[in-house]
Amino acid sequence: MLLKVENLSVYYDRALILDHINLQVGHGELVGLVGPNGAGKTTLLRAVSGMINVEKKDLKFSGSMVRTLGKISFQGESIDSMLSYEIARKGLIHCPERHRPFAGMSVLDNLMAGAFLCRDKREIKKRLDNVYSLFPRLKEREKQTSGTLSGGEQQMLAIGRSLMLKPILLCIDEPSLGLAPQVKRSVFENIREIQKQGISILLVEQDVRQSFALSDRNYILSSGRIAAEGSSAKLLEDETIRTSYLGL
Amino acid sequence: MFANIFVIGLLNGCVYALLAAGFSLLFSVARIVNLAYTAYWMIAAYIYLGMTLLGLPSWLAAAVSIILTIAMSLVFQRLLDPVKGNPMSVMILTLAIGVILQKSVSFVQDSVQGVYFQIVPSLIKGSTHILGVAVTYQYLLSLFVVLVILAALGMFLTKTRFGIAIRATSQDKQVAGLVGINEKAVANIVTGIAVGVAAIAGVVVSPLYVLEPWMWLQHLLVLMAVVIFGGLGSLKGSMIAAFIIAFIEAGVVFLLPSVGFLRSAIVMFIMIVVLLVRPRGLFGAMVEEH
Amino acid sequence: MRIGNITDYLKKEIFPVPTRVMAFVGLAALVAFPLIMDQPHILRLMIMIFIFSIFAASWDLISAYTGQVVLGHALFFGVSAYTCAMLNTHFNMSPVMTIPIGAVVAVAAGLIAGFPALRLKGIYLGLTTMAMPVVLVAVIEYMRSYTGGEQGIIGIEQLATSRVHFYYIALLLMVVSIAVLMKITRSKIGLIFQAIRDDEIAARASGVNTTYYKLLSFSLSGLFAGLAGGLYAHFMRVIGPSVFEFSFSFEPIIWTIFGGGASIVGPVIGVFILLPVVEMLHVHLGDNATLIYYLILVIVVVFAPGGVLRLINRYTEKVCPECMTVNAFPRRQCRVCSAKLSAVNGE
Ligand SMILES: Nc1ncnc2c1ncn2[C@@H]1O[C@H](COP(=O)(O)OP(=O)(O)O)[C@@H](O)[C@H]1O
Ligand SMILES: [Mg+2]
Repeated sequence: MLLKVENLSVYYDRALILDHINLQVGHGELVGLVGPNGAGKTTLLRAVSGMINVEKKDLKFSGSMVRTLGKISFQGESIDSMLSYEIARKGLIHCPERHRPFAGMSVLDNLMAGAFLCRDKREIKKRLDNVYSLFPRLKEREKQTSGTLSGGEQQMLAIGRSLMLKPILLCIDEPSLGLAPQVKRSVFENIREIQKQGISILLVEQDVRQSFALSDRNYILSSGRIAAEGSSAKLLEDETIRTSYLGL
Repeated sequence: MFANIFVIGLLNGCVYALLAAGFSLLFSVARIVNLAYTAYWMIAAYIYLGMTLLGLPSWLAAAVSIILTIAMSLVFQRLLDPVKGNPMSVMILTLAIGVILQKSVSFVQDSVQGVYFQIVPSLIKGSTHILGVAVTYQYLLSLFVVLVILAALGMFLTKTRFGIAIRATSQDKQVAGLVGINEKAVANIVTGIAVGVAAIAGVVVSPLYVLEPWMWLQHLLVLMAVVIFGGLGSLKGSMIAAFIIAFIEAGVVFLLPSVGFLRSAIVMFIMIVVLLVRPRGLFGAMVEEH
Repeated sequence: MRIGNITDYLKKEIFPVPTRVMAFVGLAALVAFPLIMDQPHILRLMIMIFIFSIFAASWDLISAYTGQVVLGHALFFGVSAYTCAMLNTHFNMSPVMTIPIGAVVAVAAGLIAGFPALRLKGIYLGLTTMAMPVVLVAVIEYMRSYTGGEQGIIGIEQLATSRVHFYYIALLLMVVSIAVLMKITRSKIGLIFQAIRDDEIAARASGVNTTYYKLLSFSLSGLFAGLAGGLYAHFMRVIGPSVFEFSFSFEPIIWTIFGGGASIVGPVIGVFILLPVVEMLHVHLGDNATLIYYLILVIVVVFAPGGVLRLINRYTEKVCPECMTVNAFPRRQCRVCSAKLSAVNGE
């Protein structure tokens, strides 16, 4: 297994946000994680990518508290106490919710920030070409300040920036959020292509239909718990799951 | 007259711009209002002075001063860790650090020679005339060095791998972590660069002024006006604001000599008015709080 | 009957809590102090402590409670001091008149300083307020025929005929001011101030007229700072532009952070500790006093980030998790609701 999450619980102060989560992603898999707003999907990704560990340190000053329990391992190595930059260096890349470009910087500089860990100029060029062939729009807008891009373009940029790190596992948080249907479709198309390049993907989505069409396996998250897991076909067969969790 | 304004305004503008660049960098990466910043400038000038008095050649004295000042700032940076969550405590701590540096200088001065005012020896002697104004070579050298550093800083931030990492961190610390940037290391590097810039300014510019241990406070006020005026965290904004303020100051001093003592007050007044019209400075809102 | 009430209150609310006992004993000692100690320089120090306690607490209200970063608090203090001095020396007005007028002028200054606060936040507001005294000093130096320019104003009338007399007036005013400020901060208004500090947008969204409350906080803060300034002018009998200095604006911040912010009592503790320390340092070390003073400050802020008050509280008190009553540290059970108290504070 590439990523293994065992009995992960997360508390914000006294609120239990995630409750004994067990989740796995295998090599080459595209795993979907779906669930309604506030289910804890983002929190799960933040725990996996070490963002919560960074937040923990910052929050200590303001009197609030985050606690995490349980085990997370990546490629057999325990990563649950690592900070986000250390985890990113292992090849587990988190593409955050709402794109979050470095808004004052150009498209190219955003991508170059993604290539921070790589010192080899030729390798950087190769990755950049790869990103540009996936997203030709980004090449057209290379010099533009990223804060002025459209929502769809910002999402492309966020994924492109993550790809510049050459991920082993890419965790994408709600890439289709707030996009027009047509743009949505092309983003999902891109994600499929990324998987074809041999990158494992953990895809967090609210758009169940699209996500299920893409994924090998799925987890349904509801109020901080895994309510069900399995292949798209199996989950869609189950009437109770369809009506109570998927709203289909 | 106008030549005078130009000569003085240009130099002060460059110095303010340099300090403002360092200060903005520090603020945008570490999110700390470091009131001790101009004190590093002052201490660098004094270490340089002390080293030359000990007989070191100028270049060596300059190097020692810059390195010592940077080292000092990195040590002081550690003190801020326990209070990071409280901006007011951070501010008071940095102010205290500034005062401690100032008083340490006075202490050393009093116990060594009992002389309070000091003139720092120029790196090069002599002078020439430009536009009919007498201009020392030291002035030209200072101007040149400051411009070179400004340009180098600009190149560093826009063209190099580390420069991009620094800008990314200042825009979004969390996402910077997600692309593998160690924010703490960046903060240390930025502190080093920002204080280094101030120290270089201290060494090359101080021969043009009379040096006094308390002068950092006065410069701090102007510096704060510059960075706030330009918009905290906006490098471009503070560059422009630096020259605006420097030329206003020089203009007041030369055109209205009878109210020359009001120059800080006039700058402050203009700053208040600008802030009321544009609450985040001329070029503010580049850096948003998260 | 009334005596019974008071003893009852003492028994129920004062004696069970060590810090309140300390405050009570301290206050009693302050009242008795001039009877046993009549050295003029000690009394002078005590009077300064009382005046600056009011000044420090007024900063606590606006900045630590309401979250409006004021870095030029000397403005309110100085405006009032100058008003008193000018009214007294130019128009022979008695201190009984000038001090209230000075405080009112400081309220006006508070409103003027509060106006930018309606648009500016954080360090931007801090800088604007820091710049205001600088501008005012320029005005003072420009209008030197009225203000005495750099020399300042001398020959201001004493508020009281004797130092002991002044001591009791200042003590009384300090106690009343602190009591009023504590009352305010523990009332609904205080809660609104804190709501504005913690999240202004949320406060406004929940229907609070933040403009009104911010200006209210500025005026109240101005009022007490002005009172302190007026007392200062009529005690020192000479004032100059130095009351507007940068460093003087930072003193209340230092006292507050040292003592513990957002508590009103904290800054008072800060003044009571730091002023004598400064005085002592100056006597023994002369010019190097400031160096040592700031070193002490750094050490305390680094090792007790919450201030001295929090440190004292941590080792003397426990707050009941059920009813929020304050209990003495050794207790295992809450003295009101008998709930179990944990062994370690705050857990
Ligand atoms: N920093 C935080 N502090 C407190 N609660 C939080 C924080 N972040 C998220 N939460 C809470 O955790 C729950 C899950 O949020 P999130 O993970 O963002 O859900 P999702 O991504 O599935 O919409 C929500 O109820 C949210 O209010
Ligand atoms: Mg989410």
